[in-house]
Amino acid sequence: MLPTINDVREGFICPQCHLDMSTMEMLHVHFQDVHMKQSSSTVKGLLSFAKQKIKSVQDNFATIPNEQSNIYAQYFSVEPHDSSTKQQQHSPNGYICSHNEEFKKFRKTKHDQMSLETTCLLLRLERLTSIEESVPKSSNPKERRKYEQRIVDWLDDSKVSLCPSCAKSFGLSRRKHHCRLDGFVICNECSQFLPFSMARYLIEPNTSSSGLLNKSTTNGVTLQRTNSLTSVTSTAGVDGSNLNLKEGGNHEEYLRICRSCQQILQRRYDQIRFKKTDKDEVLIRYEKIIEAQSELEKIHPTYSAIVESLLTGETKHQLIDAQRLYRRITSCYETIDSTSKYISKLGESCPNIDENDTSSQIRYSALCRNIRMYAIHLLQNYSISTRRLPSDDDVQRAR
Amino acid sequence: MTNLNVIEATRFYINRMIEDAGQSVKGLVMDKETASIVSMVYAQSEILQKEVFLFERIDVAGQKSLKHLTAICFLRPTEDNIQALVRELQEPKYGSYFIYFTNFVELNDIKSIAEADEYECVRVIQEFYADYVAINPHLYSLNIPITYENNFLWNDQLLRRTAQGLVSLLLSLRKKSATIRYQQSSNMAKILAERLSNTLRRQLDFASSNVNAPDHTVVLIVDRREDAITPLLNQWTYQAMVHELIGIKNNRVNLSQVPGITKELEEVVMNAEYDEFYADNLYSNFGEIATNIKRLMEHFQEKHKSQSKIESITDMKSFVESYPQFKKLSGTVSKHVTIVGELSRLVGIYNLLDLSETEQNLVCQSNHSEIVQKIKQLIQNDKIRDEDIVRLICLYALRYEHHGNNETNALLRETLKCRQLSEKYIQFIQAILNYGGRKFRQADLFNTQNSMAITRQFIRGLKGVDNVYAQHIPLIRDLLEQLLRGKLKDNLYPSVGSKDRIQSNNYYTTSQQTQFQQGQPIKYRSSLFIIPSEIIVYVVGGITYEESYHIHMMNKQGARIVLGGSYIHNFASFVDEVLAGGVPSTSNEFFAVKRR
Repeated sequence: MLPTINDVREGFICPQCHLDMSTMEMLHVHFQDVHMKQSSSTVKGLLSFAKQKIKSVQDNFATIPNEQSNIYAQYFSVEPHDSSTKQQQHSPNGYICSHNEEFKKFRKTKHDQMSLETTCLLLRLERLTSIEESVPKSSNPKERRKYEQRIVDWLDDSKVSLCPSCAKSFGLSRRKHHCRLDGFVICNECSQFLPFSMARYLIEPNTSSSGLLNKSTTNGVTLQRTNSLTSVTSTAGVDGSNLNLKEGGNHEEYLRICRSCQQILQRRYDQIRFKKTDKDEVLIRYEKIIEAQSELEKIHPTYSAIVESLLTGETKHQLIDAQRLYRRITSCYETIDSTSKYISKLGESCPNIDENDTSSQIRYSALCRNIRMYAIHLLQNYSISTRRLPSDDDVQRAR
Repeated sequence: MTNLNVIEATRFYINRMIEDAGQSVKGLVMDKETASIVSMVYAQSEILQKEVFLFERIDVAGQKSLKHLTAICFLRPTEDNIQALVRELQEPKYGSYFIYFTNFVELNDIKSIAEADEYECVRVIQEFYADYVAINPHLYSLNIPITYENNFLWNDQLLRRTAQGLVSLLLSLRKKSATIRYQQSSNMAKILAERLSNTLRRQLDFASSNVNAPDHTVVLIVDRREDAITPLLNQWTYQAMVHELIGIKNNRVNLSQVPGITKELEEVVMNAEYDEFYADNLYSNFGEIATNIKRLMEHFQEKHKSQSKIESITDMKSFVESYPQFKKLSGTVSKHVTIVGELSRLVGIYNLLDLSETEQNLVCQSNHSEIVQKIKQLIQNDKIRDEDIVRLICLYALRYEHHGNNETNALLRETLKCRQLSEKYIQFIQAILNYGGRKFRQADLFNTQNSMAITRQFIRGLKGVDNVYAQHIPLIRDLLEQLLRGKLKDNLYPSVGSKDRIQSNNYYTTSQQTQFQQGQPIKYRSSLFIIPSEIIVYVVGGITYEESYHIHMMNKQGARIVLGGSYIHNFASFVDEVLAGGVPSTSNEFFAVKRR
């Protein structure tokens, strides 16, 4: 049926019957065999005629290849701001969504809450472990207890019949004790003992007394092991802990605390250690490589320019300048090469990593290997573009 | 007009990540999926240049920490990853963390991570939408080998992952809105389309698509079942051929089965971004490749000869200067020579030329009796592999499903007489009709259904075929051509939310028809056609490199189309996909022959 005038139709439409043929060839064929009176009524004649027609159509097309090459472009819309942004990004940048703000908010709330708890405990700790003369020590138990009770309110132990951490009942064999930091009741098994030295370290990590603690973990430049958490305390019985330092004949003062206080203090300890980690040797060496690289970046273009000008006979520069720069460049190469070689050796030997910790070893070696590859690549790129230092004769000849 | 490039889109995100982390020794922490995503668009040597020296997985348990290193975490926002990240932050292995998720992440998850960050290591937490695998500039995949479940239903997790992948594709190409058209006959396509539309609307506050906006993206979701023949055919363009005969996974080709292979060539990487010969020959057919590789070899031999004549210092210098390129060239040459050699060996021993000609004739011509004879011949031929016979039988079954003299059972019986077909293949033959037969599909795959199609086929036959191995044109190409000309029927391929459409002068409409059914007028608007600015295609159930070739050809002629699917199939993976949809319960009986 014939369409109404309002419709716009596009494509290869037969002018007679308005049927849509998708392509030019089909239109031709359709038109020939439907609308034109053919002399040959046999199928074969029709076929050969059709074949001829198609061939001719194809020949036409063969001479205008460009028109074919963009046939689909007409079906796509062009962005309006296309021309103005031609010089800008070649590819559109994808969307990004940031959650930094919410994250920081959440983290801050948690941290504030945690640091409140910790600070409260630390204040009490300070008073409890003070070494002033007026404060009674464990040698004077009664006075000591009165002192401790003045700082922290001890819970009334008649109200507590079960130990809150292990839920075992108190009795003749299991006596009630008090945590010195929050006053709760605990049994002896669940008690943790915090050495005074550790307490002082927690309060003030930067003083020299903390040198005592450093002995067991840091030794010059080593890797930190936060997954083998060194405990701030030892459990019941004051021997066999990592941090039990019996200094000479002096026996350490210990503070009895409960598990929850211990966890809070442990966290504080871990955070301190995390911040104070020393740089691994690999990284220190790597920084040397980076230094050498940036020096190269600065000098190299100048060197190339000087050599260029010397070889073209200009007298702006002297050969000595070129020689000096060349020496510096080669020394940079040397640094990079030797440092990266040293790093890759480190990767093979894996110092400071446990013998059994193979996954860490693999990781460490991979790191060192990759740094070495990076250095090699860097050297290759630079050495290819470094021009040979011209000799006196070359310079003379050029002038 | 700049063309769409999914590889560039992904690279943009990765570059940004690395830049933001600043000048320091960096380590890239990924999960299994993002590791593939990154490795497809970036070569290790290139990343190394940017000071990224470690490549790790988030799910590998804690090791000794290396503080003062920066971690760039590029993860999918799955529950497992969030848990692993929380664990990691409680015992950090790195000094600072820059976290990037490939898709939307819930507020609670951000909260858990924030609360776990006791050491305040996290500097940045952002969403970078690179949640798909970019293979060629116009081709992407989601690396889901099997999408279907029994009875062709969606698995919740896969549906979620697919929707996420599509959303991220749109966002990475800077498209916030799109018209989504889906295949009505496929339930899975419909559910996916609705899910996609909801996600876009919900997350980005965009109401019904702003129809007046000049850049209008069209997303087309179709089902593999509509065209089950394309994965069954043997291919002759380089990329497609390697995938069919050897297999490409994440741009890696496993050559260990090649006789006489050297150790270093057992697994090679074929990436068009880094390999010039490959880039030029991705879509060349076998004959052209042979010529080109010969040319490449000659070029290489020339260079080699000139290399060996080092007589003066200048020679040495130029040698050193060109050595890296030479080395690279020799690597490329040996790789391609080996692969092409293997391909031609396989073509010879499996008689693929004869076979492929039969396949193409089966699908594109209509000589029933001739083709049955030919198939019977090939069944007897020992050189032809079992799987190729299975291909032929399935193609025959699909083609002549409703033919009066359907010989599928006879052919199958003959095959079983002289070959031992594995159980899997027998089940596959039974399953293929259920998968892609007439009962499900709407499309006219063989151009037999209406006069237009018959004429078209006729014309093609008359023109004579210039390449008998490339006669077949995949359905997706026809669908896209229809879509571009505004002829993709709305009742077969509706858009999501097509009820509320407004007219504007950017359209041209085809005829409006009013149908009367039982006295009530039903207004049937046929394809309110909007000129798209680009088309993004997703095929549920996977795509093939042949289809990628056709889309590439269209793009060369000015189209802007991006093609993708759940997976890139070859025959082997396609068998698994079809079988997952369920084998019909016909025990010893072969399938009933449908008679008109």
